Amino acid sequence: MIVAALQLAGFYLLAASMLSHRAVLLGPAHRKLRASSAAMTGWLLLAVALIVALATGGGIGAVTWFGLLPLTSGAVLLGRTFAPRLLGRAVAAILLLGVVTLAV
Amino acid sequence: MVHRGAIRQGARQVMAWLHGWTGLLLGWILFVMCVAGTLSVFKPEIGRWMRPEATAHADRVAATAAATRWLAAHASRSSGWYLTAPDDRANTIEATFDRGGGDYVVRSLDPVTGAPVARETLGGEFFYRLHFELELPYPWGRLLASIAAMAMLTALVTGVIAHRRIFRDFFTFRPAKGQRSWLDGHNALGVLAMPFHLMITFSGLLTLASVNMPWGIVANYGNDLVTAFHDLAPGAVDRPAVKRPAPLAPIVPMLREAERRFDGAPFGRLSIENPGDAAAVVTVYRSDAAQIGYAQAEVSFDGPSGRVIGAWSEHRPAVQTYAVIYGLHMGRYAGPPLRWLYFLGGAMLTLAVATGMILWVVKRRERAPLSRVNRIVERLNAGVIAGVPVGCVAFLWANRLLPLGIADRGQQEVNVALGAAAASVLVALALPPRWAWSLLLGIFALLCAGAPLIGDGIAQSIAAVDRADAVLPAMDLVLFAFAAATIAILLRLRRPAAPARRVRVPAT
Repeated sequence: MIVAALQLAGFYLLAASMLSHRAVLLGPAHRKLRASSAAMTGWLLLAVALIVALATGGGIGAVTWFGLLPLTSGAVLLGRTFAPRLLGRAVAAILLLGVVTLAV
Repeated sequence: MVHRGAIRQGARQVMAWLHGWTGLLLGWILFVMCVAGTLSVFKPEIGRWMRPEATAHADRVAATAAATRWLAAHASRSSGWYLTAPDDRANTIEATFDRGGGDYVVRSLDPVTGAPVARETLGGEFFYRLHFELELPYPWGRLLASIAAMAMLTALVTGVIAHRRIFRDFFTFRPAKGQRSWLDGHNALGVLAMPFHLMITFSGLLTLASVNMPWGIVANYGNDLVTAFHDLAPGAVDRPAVKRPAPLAPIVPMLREAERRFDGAPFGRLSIENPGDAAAVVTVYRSDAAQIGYAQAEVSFDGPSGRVIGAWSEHRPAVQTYAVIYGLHMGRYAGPPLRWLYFLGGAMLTLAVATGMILWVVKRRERAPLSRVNRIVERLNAGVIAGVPVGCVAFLWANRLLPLGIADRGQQEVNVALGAAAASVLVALALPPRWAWSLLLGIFALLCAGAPLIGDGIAQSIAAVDRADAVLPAMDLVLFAFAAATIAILLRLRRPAAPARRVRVPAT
């Protein structure tokens, strides 16, 4: 769960760092965003997700990380297309849920 | 720099050409393989849905004992029984055996009585076999499948180069814009699951390595395949029948002894060669569901006495590397969430193939009126992309409607499936593509919505819910979801086309 949530957040930030998606996803707020740091954080979250997957699942964790890529990136793609302004809040909620389930 | 740019442009055009043609020529076969492979992820669950009366449960040892009892009474003159034990996914025993004479049949045996279940069907095994044998005789099906897999690998690599915007257009999908949308969809389906696509294609190719790259075996062994097999599985016991009847020793102690030698890991399959003979050999294999790479291990017993006569396990690095790649492809180790991710990846590859073939036509139609050949391609696309799924669901209908107990019932189900798919292709060739798409997708939606309801399907699903068995109702829901999604697509198709905006032909 936390692996999927981290990937989702990572892909969201990567999308937000891209010129063609930034304004659609963030609205006027996008001017405040530094693209390079968003991209870097996005990649970092994907890497953290991989580390978590490896640490908790070993080989099967690695396969799960790869298997989740189409699911999470696909969710960002569909969200960006059909509900771009909702996407950010949904991603934040899922990330929060992931952290909570991890803590419980 | 202009010069280098020109070369790069030329290389991209070559890649685009190769991507288009490999995709088109083998696309229809790849589509069949992708659909069947994706469904094979849930092979045991499809088997459960198709044998709703077989609800008995027994642990793997008791079930195997029941199966061998029944086989000893009904197929004692067989040259071999090959059994797959039930596990937490399948409740029946999958048995392949002959009754003397070498005419092998595949049957699911009840785990308590050991007798074949009433509703004779191949179940999910049909999709699994279709995936790499394509219903063609050996070795042609496997050969064609591996050629198609090579084309797939080529198409994946060239696709990354030919569709040069796939990384810049990551997360981009522009719906209802004709060719643009098809291209966006094709690119997204390809690139978002690219690691899965590469893994599944490469590992699939490797599982058929003895078919598509036989020269290593030929160079080292010539025609001596017996030695080749023996080197691959050293310690495997193979001895001819002595034509003297002898009863089989009790199977349960052998299974327990084998599991003790597997360090407590469960067995998955067993084979009993020449079961009624004094030289019978029982070989028990470790289950392959415990880890990604199948750690092959087997113990062989003398049939009449039950003594251990051979045991070995695989530790050679090269073979174990292969086992990991093979295991990644089969996904038998995967728990439910990961299994659904395999299904998602497979579905995305299926749709990437389908959208690619549709793009071939859409792209040419936007440039100029279609040539005669491309008009046939357009119709074949409708026939295959909508018709193969129709065949798959027709298989489920045949399973629920054909009377129990008719001769060769399992094969008759397959005939219905192949007949329905073939009829769909013929219909699509005869009708204008727009009609064919609507008609075939409409039939597909109806078949999906109806499959859980026909026969005594409703009663079976209610009974399954009562005994807290989620497999049947879950598959019903998946079928309803397919129907709903197809109806949504149909409604979109019926909507008048958006005014064609003739802009510059978008870059690929």
